[in-house]
Amino acid sequence: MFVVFFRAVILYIVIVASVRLMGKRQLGELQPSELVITLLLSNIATLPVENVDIPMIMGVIPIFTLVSMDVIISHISLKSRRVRRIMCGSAKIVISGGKIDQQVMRDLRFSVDDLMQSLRSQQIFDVSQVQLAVVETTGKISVYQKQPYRNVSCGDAGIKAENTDPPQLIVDCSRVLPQSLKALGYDRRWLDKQLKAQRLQLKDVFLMTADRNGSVFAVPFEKELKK
Amino acid sequence: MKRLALSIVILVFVAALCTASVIVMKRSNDKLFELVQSTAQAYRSGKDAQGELEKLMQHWKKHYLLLTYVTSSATMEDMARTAEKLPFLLEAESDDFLAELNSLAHWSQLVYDSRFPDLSSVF
Repeated sequence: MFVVFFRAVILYIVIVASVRLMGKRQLGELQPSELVITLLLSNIATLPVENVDIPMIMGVIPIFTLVSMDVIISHISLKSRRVRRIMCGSAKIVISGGKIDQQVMRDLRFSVDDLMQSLRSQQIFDVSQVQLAVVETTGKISVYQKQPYRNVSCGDAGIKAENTDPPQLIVDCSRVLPQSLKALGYDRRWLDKQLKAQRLQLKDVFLMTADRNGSVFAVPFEKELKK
Repeated sequence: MKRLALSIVILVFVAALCTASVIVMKRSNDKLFELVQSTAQAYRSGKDAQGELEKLMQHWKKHYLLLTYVTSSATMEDMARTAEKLPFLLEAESDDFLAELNSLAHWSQLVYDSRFPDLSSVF
């Protein structure tokens, strides 16, 4: 049983390292090659854990080989449009100018139910409201609504709004994040001043965010959970 | 670029490891055949086959351990059984001794061939 335990631990580390090697792209929406890798990795990893007669290296080598190949091919895809097309395909327009392209739907084997379900997932329940709909290479549908049905923005209403970045986390469980402070243009002295204004000490802070305008939001530790 | 470099390094390392495993297996196999031949020769000529068999068994243990890193098959269990029988067959001066020796060499070659990266083993 110890053998199974150690193998499980080792393979866990190998899988996490592999997913980290592939990067955030893999954790987002999956391209076909990425889906293949994900399925293969999970199956390959279980083999040496379930069957102790199989050498560990028979699990580790294919995992690292597949992951490395995926990273190399995705770098090549970045440079070459043709390779990208071969590996990932291309997005297809299913609704253009408000008109459904039935031939494209047939080519994609996209049924009417699939189309309606995809539109509903975008909170669109009336297909006549759609100006343009694109089926991406991940299978997800992107929708551009007709003008009368789009949400009104500040620009539409003639409201002048300043472009601001969202607040950033600057303290995490009493630990200061110096890169975030620096990115906002603040320093430790400014932080201490803000903590004093909020009548808090650093050790009492569960989380704290700030933005470029100087607005600060702090959440102290709950008494029972305080370190 | 770091990921790309790391991936290339990993692939090169894996290729090197696979090449090294084939080379090491080949060398170990060749030594096993040599020892099988010398043991069979000693037995046929009536010389001291016991000494040669001991060398063979020592090498076989290392060879078996090497094989467990790269393969696992029912053949290996048969080979291990064959190897274990040899000292008793030699002691009994059995007719099966030479047959079992050759069987060990033959199966060892089959295991190596199945791990060698040619078309038949890949497909």
